[in-house]
Amino acid sequence: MNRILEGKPLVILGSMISPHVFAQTEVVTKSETPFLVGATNAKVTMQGSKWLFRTHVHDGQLAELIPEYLVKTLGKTRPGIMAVADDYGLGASKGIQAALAKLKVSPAAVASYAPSDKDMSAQLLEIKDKDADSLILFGRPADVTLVIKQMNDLGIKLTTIGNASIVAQTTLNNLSAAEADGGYAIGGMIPQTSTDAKIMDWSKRVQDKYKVPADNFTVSYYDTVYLLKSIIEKVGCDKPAIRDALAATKDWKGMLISYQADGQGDLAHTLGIYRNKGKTPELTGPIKESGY
Amino acid sequence: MKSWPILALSAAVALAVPVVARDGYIIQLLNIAILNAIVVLGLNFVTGWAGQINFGQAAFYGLGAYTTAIATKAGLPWIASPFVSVIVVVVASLMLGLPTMRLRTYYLAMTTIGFGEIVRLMIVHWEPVTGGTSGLRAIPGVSVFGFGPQGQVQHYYLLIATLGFAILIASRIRHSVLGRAMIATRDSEIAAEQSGVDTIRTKLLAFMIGAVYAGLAGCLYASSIRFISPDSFSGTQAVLLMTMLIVGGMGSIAGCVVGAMALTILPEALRFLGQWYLVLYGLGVIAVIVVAPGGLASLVSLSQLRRANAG
Amino acid sequence: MGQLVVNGLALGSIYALVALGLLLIFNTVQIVNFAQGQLLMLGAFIGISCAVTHELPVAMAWAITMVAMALVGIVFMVLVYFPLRGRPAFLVILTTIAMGIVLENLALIVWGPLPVSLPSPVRGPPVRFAGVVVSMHQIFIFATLAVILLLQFLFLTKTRFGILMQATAQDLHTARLVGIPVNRTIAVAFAFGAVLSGIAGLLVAPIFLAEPTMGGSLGLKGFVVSVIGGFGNLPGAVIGGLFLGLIETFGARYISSNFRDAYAFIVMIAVLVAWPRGLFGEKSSEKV
Repeated sequence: MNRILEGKPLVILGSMISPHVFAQTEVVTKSETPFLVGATNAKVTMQGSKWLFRTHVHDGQLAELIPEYLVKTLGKTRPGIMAVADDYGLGASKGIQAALAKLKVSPAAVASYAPSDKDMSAQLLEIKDKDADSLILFGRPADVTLVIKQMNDLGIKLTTIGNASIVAQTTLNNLSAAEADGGYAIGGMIPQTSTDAKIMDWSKRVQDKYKVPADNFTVSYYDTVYLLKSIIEKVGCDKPAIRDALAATKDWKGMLISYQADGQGDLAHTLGIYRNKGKTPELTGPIKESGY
Repeated sequence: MKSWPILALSAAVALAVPVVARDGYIIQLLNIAILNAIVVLGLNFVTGWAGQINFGQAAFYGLGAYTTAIATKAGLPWIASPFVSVIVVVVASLMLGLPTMRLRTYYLAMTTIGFGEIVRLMIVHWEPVTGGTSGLRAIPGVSVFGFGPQGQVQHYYLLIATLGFAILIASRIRHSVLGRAMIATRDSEIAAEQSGVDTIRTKLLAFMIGAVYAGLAGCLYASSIRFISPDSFSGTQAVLLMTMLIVGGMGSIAGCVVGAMALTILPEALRFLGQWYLVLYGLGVIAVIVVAPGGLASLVSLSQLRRANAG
Repeated sequence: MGQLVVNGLALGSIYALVALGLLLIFNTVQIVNFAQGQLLMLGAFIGISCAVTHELPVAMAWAITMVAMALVGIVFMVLVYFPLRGRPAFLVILTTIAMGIVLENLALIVWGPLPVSLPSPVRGPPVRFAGVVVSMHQIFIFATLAVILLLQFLFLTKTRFGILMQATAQDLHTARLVGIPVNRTIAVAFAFGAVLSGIAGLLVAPIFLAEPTMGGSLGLKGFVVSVIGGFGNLPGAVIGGLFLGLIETFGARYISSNFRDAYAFIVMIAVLVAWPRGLFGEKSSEKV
């Protein structure tokens, strides 16, 4: 980052990896450069930097909305929680447990697995032994794939809901239709479920060019670039003016959602609820953070 | 035996670098290279002189860094942090060294790798204290009675001075009774024992000194880079340190420094190669081992020999 | 708890296979191949290239992979063993580690970093008894291990070439003096060692998915098993492997799943401290 700042950039498009953003915030703030990130740790926008903006939904929202949907809409009352044991997963797990408590629901079991773990059967068995009626799963596509696979191998049948990893292309590529079917996810909206032909075409072009499927981050960063374009066209290449315009964002229409800045620098407040039909995620509907 | 003109020249070059190179990024890179050199010098005691395979050096480096980071963030005055780091690292080296003194080659390699992994796992999973995979940031800097280096260049001079000190001590040890005992142990443990060398004690001391070097380097790393994460002290790093030693020249003090510098700067200079860098690096290491197992240092002495014979 | 036993044994069988490959090479040329895990990874990816990318039947993918791995083993021997004959063990260790790095990064370049799945050669619903679920694939793992052990035993003891290999393992120099085609036995050892790891890869990928970085951890576990069982000892490797699989699985369930990988090392260090020659002893001598 020091090297980048020496080049005196106008704006910095930052990482989606929260530890990176945490490490870089101080030095970017000192340089008074608008810092746009996709990192999803809830605390990223709580650092008090007025130059940092986040254009992707974050885990704090997930921690609220997943339990809400599971309890109120799906009617489950004894979830087991399974999260990847790092900042990302454990932070979300704690938030989820707090939200469940507010809904007067207590989890049957709370388990975690190391990010490089390959065998989650011990934790799954614990959740099954404690008579859970559903599973809240929070991890990355690589490990979420394994959890779902092993759940099936062990013959455990639970309604599963979690973060976007459950419907991510990487995950679905490695699961059979039977294994993937029925899983719910709440997360940043993905392009593959859109009915708009232009979006589908864009998504295909991304896959062809970069050999990796377009996901919620791809959409978010794409929107960010165009948001910046519209701002720069209005206020010019002036860092403080760009910052102020970002802070005043209201109802800016992106590819799949509209953006609105709140007091902390978060611009994205609409998430999607997805359900796997076989190996294809379907959009069940949008869900908004409370107050939006 | 070093020749004084070369030493003086190297020192002059080292001191002049920040004047010539204005780029803060390059200075920071050199700072990391210097720290690596100190760690590799430590490794040299264990592997280069005493002949013990040690893939745990990165773990001692990490222990020093994390101890300093945690202690200074908790409010300990900086001046005490090197001592605390040394204590932690010495205890750890005894914990690794004592049970393994009788182990040979492969078992020793495996055990040191295992030690490194266990330390890394502890760091990663003791999140409240170590920050887990995210690491620790905003670590307080070097500060003695309120004074401390500000900016990359001042840190550079501090580190160069420390390196010089480290080299001096290493050289002293090399020519001491302990140093000779280490080399005797490496060449043949049985013969050394017969000649009255307490190989167990020698190996243990080599381990401890090596660990202390790494621990102090870690302390400085935490206080100058001011951000640490477990990735900098992983098993991959341990292998990298070992290759720095080999490429530079096992057993040669100058080799340690050259090897560390080369293999710290090379990945940055060759960044354009992307993933291919590691492939070439691996092949390069194999090539060096096959063609010049004594490292760059051996090539230098070889050419010196030829010149001497020709002249 | 029975489920933990089954899962632990299945995992342990894979560790045992990695160790067997390691030991085959070690017994013949006294080299510990620190790239054995990457060979496992290669096997998995070659299998995936056949079965998934080119959509060949899984059985054919297995056959092609085994042949390919044998060739890889020979290339490995040429690159690593021959140039380093006679060099100190320490340098050989570093060379094999470097090879591992080369293989891993080549794999990253060719196949990318994302995990990929491989179908199992066997299909069918899992078997259930006494509250325990055993998947068809797990049964296949046990069967494969048993078959390999049997074949290896028969080969080494009942065939002429196998006996020659044992002779080479016992004393390479004398074997050469007596006219045994030592280079051929070494080549066979490397080829088979690679094939064994390749098979382990084909067995692992359906359960744990394959990714280029998978070799490191699995390779280390293989070494640990060899150490626990005592280098040079084949039955020891199998028992050591199963033992490690059980310890890891039970430890993850009842102690802490975070330190899963550490259990292997802790057990290894404990074993080495108590029995410096491994649980089942190893023949070793130091030349003066």
